[in-house]
Amino acid sequence: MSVKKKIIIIFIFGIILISLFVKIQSDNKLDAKVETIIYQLNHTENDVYKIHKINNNQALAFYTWGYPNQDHLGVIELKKQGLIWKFNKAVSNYIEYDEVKFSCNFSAFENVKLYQGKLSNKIDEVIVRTDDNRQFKAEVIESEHGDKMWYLILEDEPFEVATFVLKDSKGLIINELEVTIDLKW
Amino acid sequence: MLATRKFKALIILALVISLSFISFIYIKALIHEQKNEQVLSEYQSLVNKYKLDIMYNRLNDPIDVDLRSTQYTYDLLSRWKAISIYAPEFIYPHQEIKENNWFKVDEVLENNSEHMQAIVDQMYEESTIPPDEARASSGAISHYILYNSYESQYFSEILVDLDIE
Repeated sequence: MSVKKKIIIIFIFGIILISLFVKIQSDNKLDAKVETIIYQLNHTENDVYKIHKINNNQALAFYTWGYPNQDHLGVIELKKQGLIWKFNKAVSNYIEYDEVKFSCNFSAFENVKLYQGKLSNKIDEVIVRTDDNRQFKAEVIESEHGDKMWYLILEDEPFEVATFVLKDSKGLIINELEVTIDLKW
Repeated sequence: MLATRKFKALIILALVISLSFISFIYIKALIHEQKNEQVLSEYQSLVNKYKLDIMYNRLNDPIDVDLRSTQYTYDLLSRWKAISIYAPEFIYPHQEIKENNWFKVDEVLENNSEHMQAIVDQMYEESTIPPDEARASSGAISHYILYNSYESQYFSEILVDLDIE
């Protein structure tokens, strides 16, 4: 076999190996994988708020989507299989603002329960008091455009009724809302 | 020399077969992926139009999703029902809603569009609110049902006048 042919064969295999490497690398990057899945779901006009790693093998990505008001709130669950992050489950809720701009939805994922919703930009702290006397501080996260949402990840028993205490940056209570939550999903 | 040539030919043949096989698998996967994306896109349109909640359990082989109506959907369906009570030819999809079959629900709405202009004309004629020359397009009904918006003049007053709203 001539040197030229050998070079061509090595070149072809090289290209194949590099392509495979690039593909694995891109799947391995969590944020890139989230973007790919959102694109696949055709959730256009989206804004990714945060990717929360529950542990080394499970993550939840929070985002809003929809034209013109981004009035759908999406959560994607990803699980790591070997070196690669893979889609496990996703939920999208239509957001209905009430007058204080607060929404609450429930979704069950593998080993965890998620409560989450949109939030008025004036709110900086969300305290959750459940009807069975548990208290939690929810995470408040912000998009690049300054829109806010909150979430609470539970590993123990879910609650169906809770009072949400909404506070501003100075710790002043802006509102207290008792909410009954649909636990079907 | 001959044996070496045969060996080279076999290597090239094996390479060509391998590459063809990889290309075939890749193209097949690509077509399959495009079909999946098309279906996911149809679900997205449905969710956007009727403001549904959606749960994606699997994105391929086969796609598995659950759809759930929201308060916005209930309000939208109430407006649809009110129009169908006024004009029975404008079908309200009782069974399709009960079966949670939103593609069928959408099909019924699409099929209803042929009656929209006649119903709007009838509404403007029956109501005492608008002046005689006033008219509206068929879009008045679809905008009212889908977005709760009154894009045509007198339309909101006519709805009240005819006990639709």
